Amino acid sequence: MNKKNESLKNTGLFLAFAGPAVFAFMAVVIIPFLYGFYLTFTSWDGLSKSKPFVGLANYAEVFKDTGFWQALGLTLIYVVVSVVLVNVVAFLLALLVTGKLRGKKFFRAGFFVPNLIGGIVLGYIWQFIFKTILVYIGKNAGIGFLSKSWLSSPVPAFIALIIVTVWQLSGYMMLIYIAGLTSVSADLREAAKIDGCTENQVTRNIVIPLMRSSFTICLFMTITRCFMVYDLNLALTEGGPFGSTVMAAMYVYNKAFVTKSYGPGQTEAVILFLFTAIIAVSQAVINKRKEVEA
Amino acid sequence: MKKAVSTAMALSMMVGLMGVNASAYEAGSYDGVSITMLNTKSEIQDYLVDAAATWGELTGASLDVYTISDSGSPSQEIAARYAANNAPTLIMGDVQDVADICEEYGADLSNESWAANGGETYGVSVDGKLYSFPFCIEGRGLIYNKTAIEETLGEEWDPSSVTNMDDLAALLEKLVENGMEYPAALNMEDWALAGHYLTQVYEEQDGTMETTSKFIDDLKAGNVDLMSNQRFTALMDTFDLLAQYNINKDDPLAADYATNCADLAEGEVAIYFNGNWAWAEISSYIEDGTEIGIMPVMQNETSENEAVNSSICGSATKQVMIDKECTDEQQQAAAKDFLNWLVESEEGQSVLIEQCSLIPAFTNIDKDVTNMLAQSVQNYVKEGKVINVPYSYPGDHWQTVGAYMQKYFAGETDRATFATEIQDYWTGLAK
Repeated sequence: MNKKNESLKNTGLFLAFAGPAVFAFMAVVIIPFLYGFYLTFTSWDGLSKSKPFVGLANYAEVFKDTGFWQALGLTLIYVVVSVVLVNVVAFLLALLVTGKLRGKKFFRAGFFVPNLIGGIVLGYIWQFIFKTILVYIGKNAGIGFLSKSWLSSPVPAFIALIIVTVWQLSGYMMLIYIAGLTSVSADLREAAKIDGCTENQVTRNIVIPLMRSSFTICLFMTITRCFMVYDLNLALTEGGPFGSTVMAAMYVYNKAFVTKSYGPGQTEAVILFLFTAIIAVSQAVINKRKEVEA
Repeated sequence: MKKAVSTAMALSMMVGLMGVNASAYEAGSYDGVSITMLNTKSEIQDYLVDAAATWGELTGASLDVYTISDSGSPSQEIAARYAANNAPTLIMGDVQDVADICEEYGADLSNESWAANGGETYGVSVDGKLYSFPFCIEGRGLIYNKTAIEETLGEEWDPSSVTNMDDLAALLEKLVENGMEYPAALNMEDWALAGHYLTQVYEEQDGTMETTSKFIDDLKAGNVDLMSNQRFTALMDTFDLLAQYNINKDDPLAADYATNCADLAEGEVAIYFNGNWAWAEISSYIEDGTEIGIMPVMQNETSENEAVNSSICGSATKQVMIDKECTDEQQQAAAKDFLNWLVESEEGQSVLIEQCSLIPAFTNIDKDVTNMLAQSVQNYVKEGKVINVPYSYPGDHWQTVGAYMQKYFAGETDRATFATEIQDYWTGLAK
């Protein structure tokens, strides 16, 4: 009897604390996800009352859609380059602002600020910089590669996207690295130094292995965020010039809502999800194995 | 302040109306009926809300007008509302939006009083049934700054002196000789290039819906060779001419929309391809006394369609549909009454024209629009010199073909390649 009461009480407690969160999570993540998955088997146009079931036809169509694979390929390049740059820059910044730097609190805040600006706003600010300010400087100072807008040819526009991504994300990742760096106990560093390690050796052999979990988190976050990039892509280049910088998420959106091929668009979204999930999770698993504890 | 003025206007109109027009709109005929309207021209939201209140006072109905932000797309809003089974009674959308859904969800408007006065010409019809109320007409062509041209040339200039592309080329050359270094401007946006410029090729074949539909069917079937099509070659010749004198010639894809508008308004450039909607930007830069107007995109070789150098391309860009899926008979009747009121009554007309500065599609309205650019377009409408082909292009036409045209504009491809890309786009759709 008592036991039963106990378990009832526990269920009640669980529902009271976790219930709202579980409900919200189901309502806004799980159910829409499953429904979206179901829609990949229909040829719905996004508007009509009827949702004809077409089986795997959408998947077959997507495999033939070269535009999507091109966009995904471009996204992959973008992810690799940005993830590496974001993490390198973020780690170096973290080292800088945890070291002996005057006004490091100010710098920490300063580097973090870009992350607080929404992607759309940020995109427009940088669009203005690339289109107007840099061109103005380039023309007046006679710097050849700046005198034409970067956003009007494909490769510079792609580089511009990466620059802005690094600028936006590295401040955030820096915070996580700072937390990792400061969590490594000073005793260990000191012990290593007494054993004759130089500052660089301490960082490489003591600090980095001990803060591996920070790398796991940062890599996971940058990979997923870069794969799903949309707002920055839209505001900075709008996929241009002539459609050369359309990333996967933008391609999916256009497919579903501009071309009004909702079924194939939804299918591409699911494929993009799987792609991102597999890469991000396997990265996390591999890194997790390498983590060490002091 | 604006709101206070318009409320005051609405109130004074109401007072004026009570004696005059009461017979047409019986007081309280729709007591307690409540309807909603999706307005996708957010810049006129305040005026529409006031108009709804005025009409509501008259009929006893209540009309709730809501709008979506400029970045939101009408088609998504409409899709979301239908998905929620909660569509607005009156739905304002672009031609495609209405064409996509009107057979399934739209009320038949063929018997409305305004149908014959321009409704059928400019509204969306499917299988002989009229489904939408053409809310406003917008026209596109070459916007010219008459004042700047005259100041540069030092002589009187009459826009009607330009009758083909050779005249236009001579004018541009003369402007350069007189010190205006780059007298033309072109936008680089995909919707401007493919949605506004290139679509003239389809619509000007002979200026009728039938021919345009057939032309596009032929394109889909792969039976059109654009390089030997007179309209394509003539329009692209003019495009090349404008590109040659383009103020952004060094880097055409770096053109900025607002800067182009400002350049035209301030007389930095004399000729600018755009439409009367550009007034919104132009008006913030233009000085008093500057005279601007619009003329057709001048072309050489017009043997297949003589009208192209005297008519501008234009159509009703916003269409209002009445939903029959989520609304009952009485609500539909009230919605129809509101549309009637806009066209037929003095105060409804004044909302459309004086307050919202729209170019009306209806022949029974003889009020003049308030801004110069719209007036210029309205003159073409009045003279019947509008090539009106409200063809419902595929949703991705402007984006996909726009990218091809940007490539051509930037000098990455030649005209033959561009033509092939357009043809491939259309044949690709047929698969």
